[in-house]
Amino acid sequence: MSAGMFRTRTGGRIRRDQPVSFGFDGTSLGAYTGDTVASTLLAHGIHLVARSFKYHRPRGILAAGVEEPNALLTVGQGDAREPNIAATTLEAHDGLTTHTQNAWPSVGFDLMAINSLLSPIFVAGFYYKTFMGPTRKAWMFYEYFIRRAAGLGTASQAPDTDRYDWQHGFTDLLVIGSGPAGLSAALGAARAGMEVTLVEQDFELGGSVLCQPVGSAQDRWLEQMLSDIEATGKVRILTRASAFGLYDGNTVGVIERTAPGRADAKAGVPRQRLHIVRAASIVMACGAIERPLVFAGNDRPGVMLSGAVGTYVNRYGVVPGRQAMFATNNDAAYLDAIALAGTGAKVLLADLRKGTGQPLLARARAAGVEVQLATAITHVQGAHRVRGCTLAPFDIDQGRVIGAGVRHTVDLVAMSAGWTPTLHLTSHRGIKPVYRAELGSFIPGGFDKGHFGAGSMMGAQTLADAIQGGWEAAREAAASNGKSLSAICPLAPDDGDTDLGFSSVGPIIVDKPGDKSFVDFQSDVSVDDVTLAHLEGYQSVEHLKRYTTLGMGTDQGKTSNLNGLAVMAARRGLGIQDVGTTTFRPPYTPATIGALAGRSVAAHLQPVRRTAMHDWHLRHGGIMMEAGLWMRPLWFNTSAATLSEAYKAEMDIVREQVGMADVSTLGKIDVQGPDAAEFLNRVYVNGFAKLPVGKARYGFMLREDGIVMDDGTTSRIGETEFFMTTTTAQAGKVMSHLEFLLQVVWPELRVTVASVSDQWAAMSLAGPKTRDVMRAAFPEVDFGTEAIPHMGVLDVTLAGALAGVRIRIIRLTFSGELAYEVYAPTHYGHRVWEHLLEQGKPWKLRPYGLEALGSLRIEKGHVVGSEMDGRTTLDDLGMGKMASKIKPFWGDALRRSEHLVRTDRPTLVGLEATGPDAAPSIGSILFFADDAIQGHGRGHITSTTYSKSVGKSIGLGLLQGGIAHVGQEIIAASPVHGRQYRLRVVDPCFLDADGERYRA
Amino acid sequence: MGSVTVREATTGAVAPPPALRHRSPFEGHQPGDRPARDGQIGVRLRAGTISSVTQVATWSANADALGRALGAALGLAVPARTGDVVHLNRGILVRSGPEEFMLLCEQPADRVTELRQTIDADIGSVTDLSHARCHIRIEGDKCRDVLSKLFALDFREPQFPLDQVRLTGHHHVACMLHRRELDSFDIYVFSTYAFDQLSTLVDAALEYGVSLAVAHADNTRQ
Repeated sequence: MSAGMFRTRTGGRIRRDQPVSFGFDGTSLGAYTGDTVASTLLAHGIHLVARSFKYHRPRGILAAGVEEPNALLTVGQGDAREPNIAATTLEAHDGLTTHTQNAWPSVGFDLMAINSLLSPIFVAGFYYKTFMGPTRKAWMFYEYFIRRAAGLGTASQAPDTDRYDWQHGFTDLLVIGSGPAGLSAALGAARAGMEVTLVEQDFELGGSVLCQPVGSAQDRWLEQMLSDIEATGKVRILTRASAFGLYDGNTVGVIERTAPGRADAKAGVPRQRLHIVRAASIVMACGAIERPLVFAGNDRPGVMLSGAVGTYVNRYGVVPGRQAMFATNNDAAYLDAIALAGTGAKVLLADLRKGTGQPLLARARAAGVEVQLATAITHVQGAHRVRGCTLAPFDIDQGRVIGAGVRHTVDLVAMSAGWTPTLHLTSHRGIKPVYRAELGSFIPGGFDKGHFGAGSMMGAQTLADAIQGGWEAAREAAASNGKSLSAICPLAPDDGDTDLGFSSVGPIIVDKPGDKSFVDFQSDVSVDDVTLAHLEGYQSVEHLKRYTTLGMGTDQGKTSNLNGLAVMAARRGLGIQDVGTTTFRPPYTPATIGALAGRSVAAHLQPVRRTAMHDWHLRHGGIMMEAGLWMRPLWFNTSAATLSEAYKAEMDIVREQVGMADVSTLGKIDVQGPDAAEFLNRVYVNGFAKLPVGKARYGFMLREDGIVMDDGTTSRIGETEFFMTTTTAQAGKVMSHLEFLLQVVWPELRVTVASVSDQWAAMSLAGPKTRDVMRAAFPEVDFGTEAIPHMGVLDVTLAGALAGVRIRIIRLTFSGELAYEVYAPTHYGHRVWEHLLEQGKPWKLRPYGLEALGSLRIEKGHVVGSEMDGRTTLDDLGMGKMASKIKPFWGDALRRSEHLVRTDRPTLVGLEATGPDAAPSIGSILFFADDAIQGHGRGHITSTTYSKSVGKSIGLGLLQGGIAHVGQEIIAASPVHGRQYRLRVVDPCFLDADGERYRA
Repeated sequence: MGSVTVREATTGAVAPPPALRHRSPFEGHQPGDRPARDGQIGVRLRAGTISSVTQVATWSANADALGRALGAALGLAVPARTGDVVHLNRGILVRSGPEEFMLLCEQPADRVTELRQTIDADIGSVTDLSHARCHIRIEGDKCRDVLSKLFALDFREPQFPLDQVRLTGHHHVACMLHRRELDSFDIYVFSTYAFDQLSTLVDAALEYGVSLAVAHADNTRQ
């Protein structure tokens, strides 16, 4: 397959011995390894590749790198497509499919191009001004159509099947950019003994040198540098890696693209990898980006940046045009023109300046380039492709055209208005750029500590300056790392090269342009738009950006920023330095959400915490649910076929026989020390100082502000040793709270705390037959009430089938039934669980899940996180009497604050349905019967369930006035469900208020 | 303690070591090789429980006293700084904090009772965490690449020398890394997260090729 008609016969860095092909709008195009999609398209003579954002103007390839604003393609197809990929950065390879976007039916014939005809009214701010009425919601109607008419590509809605990854990296020196300055810095630092990471966004190292002819002095210099760097063995090189953001602590975000054809999700090979690089020092050698000239029709396909033309010729062996006109204000374009002329193309060069160095002029003319000095391009002819251009005499001192134009027939216009240093990364650190008039550019206004800059990013004008600058940056970085480096840097290639030509004359003003002069190609912002913004008072560059969208989009204004500033400066009669710049923010180049997420998706989205009985639950019909990071059985399908039936059946087991729940998720904290009792006495609202050894006590702890933090049971294992349990949800928070109190508030207390949540598996057996099961399972233990009364604690080393296993038994209840909690060492939890089930068979012991567990506690009126919601006090929960009046405790002072003791605070009540069918939902708002049903009401429902014991739906709630309203009918309104229910206020304890069952 | 224990209530003697098989949190993981596309195995993972883990800690004023008592109990000089490791016969002693040590041993033992002989309540606390921690060993020339995916740690040797530990974590879950050799690390993880963390490691290692060995159970646990 042909690799294109517009190829040089030889030359370039492409591998002509490695042909590849890819799809472009359904057509297969031949290419070579080393080509980009953009170079291939140009090689096949395809210049029209896109339609513009707003006006749907025909657009071609402008650049040859990440700054490309026009040639954005959709890669892949169907659900696997990815839009807005710059053709200039996309490597040609087998299997690749690409499509043009934002055009219908095609970029060649786009019906939406009617927007272009209407462009005189589609100026900046058009939407804001036009679609304001007739109602405030009218915008929602218009927006749908506007978004369909304008925009870039469309993303797939399907899950991304590719794999992405993260990697943390540490290095002595991070060098960003592998141009002459970057390579020089990397070599210098490596020779100074530093470990260097070199990142390059291109797939080849070399930066601007890649644009030079293969075999040239610069090319040979590059080869030698790469060899020298490799020889140091101290430079880690990442290509296809864009340093997209610079953050605190010398942290740089780098996204590395995997080489074409390498990514393989099944084999674990990511498509992209986010490197979070923390560097002791950073050398930024980010280069510079060429600026377009601003003239009428400067966006037409076939109008390209001069450096891009040189790159396509020298690097890719592509001839972008056979009859070209170069428009420039600097010397760099001469080299590009000479390169193109070398392919046999007819080349005309219009230099805005009155002259340049004789050697360069002579060299150009010798190469066949016709040079016209003091000449400007004023207009481009052609729609889908450049057909001609108009040149006119230009006075650089006045900055305007001074004579009649002459039309020339050309198929390519190359332009260069100077170079803009790539200072985005320093801007990420909030460092304002400074304007250098002699360069016509902004350069970084400084660096954070340990950061250095080099090369054309710093305004280096020559290759030698760039190389020297890189070496100097390496010396400084080495010095800041306590290392030294010789001042003798690698010699620059001696090829008599010219400077890069930073000088700029700003946009060219043409009296009757006849076409739009674009400043920002991607956002369709023209000189007229900037002028309009100025006239309407948007004179600040930040306002200008937001009013016109100048500098937004995937290219982030890489080619447009300075030209936009120049136009605004001219309109305001100021210098560019006086209007300032906008702030560049990350990412420098587009970053995929996939790369930012890495492998933290699907099964690896968050950690999963499993109890020791997890697999047992799965094997025995456990329907699992996430409870924080834990997986817990909500119900067992062996109990019934549906959740609503199963939890009732599981409640019946507990109320009538004996059931067992996995409560391993409870937080467990080992509290030890001579002052442990005193510590707990201060932490809990109730007394713990005199808790006897072998007994447990239920307690509440408060936050400093007097709000309830958590509840739980703490057992005294020894004189100086306690075993605290917390709720599942608050386990981590309570542990942190205790550590805070010990380290900051009461450092004098001789106490340590250790989380033993992972040490113990826990199971709660509850029901009237529980004691029978416990006796059968642990016959060596006396379960008589005297031996282990309610709230008694027992440590047991088992005999028999579980010989040697030490368990802890605490007699306490959550359900209101006779109950024991059994704590077993985690790795034996599964065995103890199975042992209990086996021994409990005569009493029909069965497991119950979280839903039944929650419903059982509602019947008993026990509070959980639904009630301890971070807003309730002890008194709100009806637990005020638990608080000690004779000892201080954490939170005691502020719990008495005025707003927490108001009598109209909602307090805990029981609620029961007045009818058999009413099933109020959690969160319903409570109103008195004669209240208007609106606003926040008088409280809300916190928990609900169906109670077989009561025979109707019941719940707990927080109601103003609380149990003073017992017996009163109230209304629960659920705005979400659009329903209302009549409920009766009752005591929160629905069952066995005297505690006869659990004391049995 | 005042509660009744079988040991006290029956023989008064320490029960013999149990023969009961415990269940490893790693059960369910499939051991074996998962080579990379080029057939290489860049990482070897071995996961299992730990016979004995004991945390010994005290309060800020008592660090020196605890160090002396612990040193006397074990017959060695305790690690001087957080992150330091001292080797014992079939075990290591890690200084996991200014006032905290972790004793990790390959042999089962009632370390709490043993250490309480010299470390009484006035000196510090002794807590059995043998079931609270599991162990994943990662080795191979790509192991640092895998670890770098999970931990924001500098794995270059000068920054993370041999025989040092780092208390770190990933996904906000804490774990402790011990560097055994240049390309060999022991990761101590919380038991209830262990299954998931091994899954994460295997997934992270896939591209390099990974070999997984899982010790599902042993008979030596106490």
